[in-house]
Amino acid sequence: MRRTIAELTVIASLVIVAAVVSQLFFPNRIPFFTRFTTIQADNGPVKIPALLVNSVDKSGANDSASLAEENPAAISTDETYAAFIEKRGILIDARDSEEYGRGHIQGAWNIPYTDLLNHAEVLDTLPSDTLMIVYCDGEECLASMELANQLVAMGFSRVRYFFGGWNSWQNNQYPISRTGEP
Amino acid sequence: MRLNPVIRHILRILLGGLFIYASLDSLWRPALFTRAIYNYHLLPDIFLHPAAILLPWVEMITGIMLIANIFPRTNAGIQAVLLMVFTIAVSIAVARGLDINCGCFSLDENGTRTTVWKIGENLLMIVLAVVVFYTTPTTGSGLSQSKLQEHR
Repeated sequence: MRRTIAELTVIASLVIVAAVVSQLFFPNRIPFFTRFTTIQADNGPVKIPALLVNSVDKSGANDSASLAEENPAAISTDETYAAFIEKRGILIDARDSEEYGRGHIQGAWNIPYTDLLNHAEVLDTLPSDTLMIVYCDGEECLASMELANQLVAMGFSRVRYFFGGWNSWQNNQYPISRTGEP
Repeated sequence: MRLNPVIRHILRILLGGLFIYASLDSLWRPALFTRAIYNYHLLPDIFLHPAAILLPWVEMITGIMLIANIFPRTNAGIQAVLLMVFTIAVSIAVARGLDINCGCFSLDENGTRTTVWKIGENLLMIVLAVVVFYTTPTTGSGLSQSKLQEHR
């Protein structure tokens, strides 16, 4: 037993040393303590880990810089509805085609967040400053953030994730479509 | 439990190699690994970064030590416990209907998802770790013990 404890201590020490060294020299390092950022959701401000908002390729030392760029940034239900009415930009449903077929925001494109490459050809034809509002089910799902980050990585400069998503849109009884087409 | 020493060493190296391989992507892309952990919605947010930094190193260090035959029994034991924790997490995700990247080997979009198959894969790895744990001598390194047996 004493031997096992001694071995566990050695292993734990090695892990801690390796983690500390990696924190000093690793190019892709992240802060050791979770950093939070506040985003505006429909039911008020929500505190979430900052890394979830940042572009995934911009981890580490330049966290605050990438946060300041606010691309992608959160957009409320009201703002999304305003963009919808004024026909500004495009709405993108990041859920899979089955969920999209069961119901989506009227006119929204379906680009499942796992399937962006298959839509790259169409997206390439759009100006890089096109307003893109990405959504999924609601605050519990992260597909919209994943897709928003991928769109930013593709070079789009005005990407917004609609945190309230499909649930909030339905609750407000805004226009929807229940077909597999936009 | 007795096992042919050659088979035992092969299993030990296989288990160590699997853990080293599993740690590589998460070590290199900790931000993505943080997201993978977050997606399970099991760990309080405050522990996300420490877990994303420490877990891959636990995998890497125990994997290297297992291959080098240093404290093989303890390292196999740690890996068995880790695998059990991972399996419970994946099972909860499956039960909740979450289809997320499991954060296991590849963190790419087309990486392994949380499915029943993944649970089965993990169970096989648990069996492997438990076999290595129970067949490794309790005293001395596995290598020295087998050499002792050969000398007898």
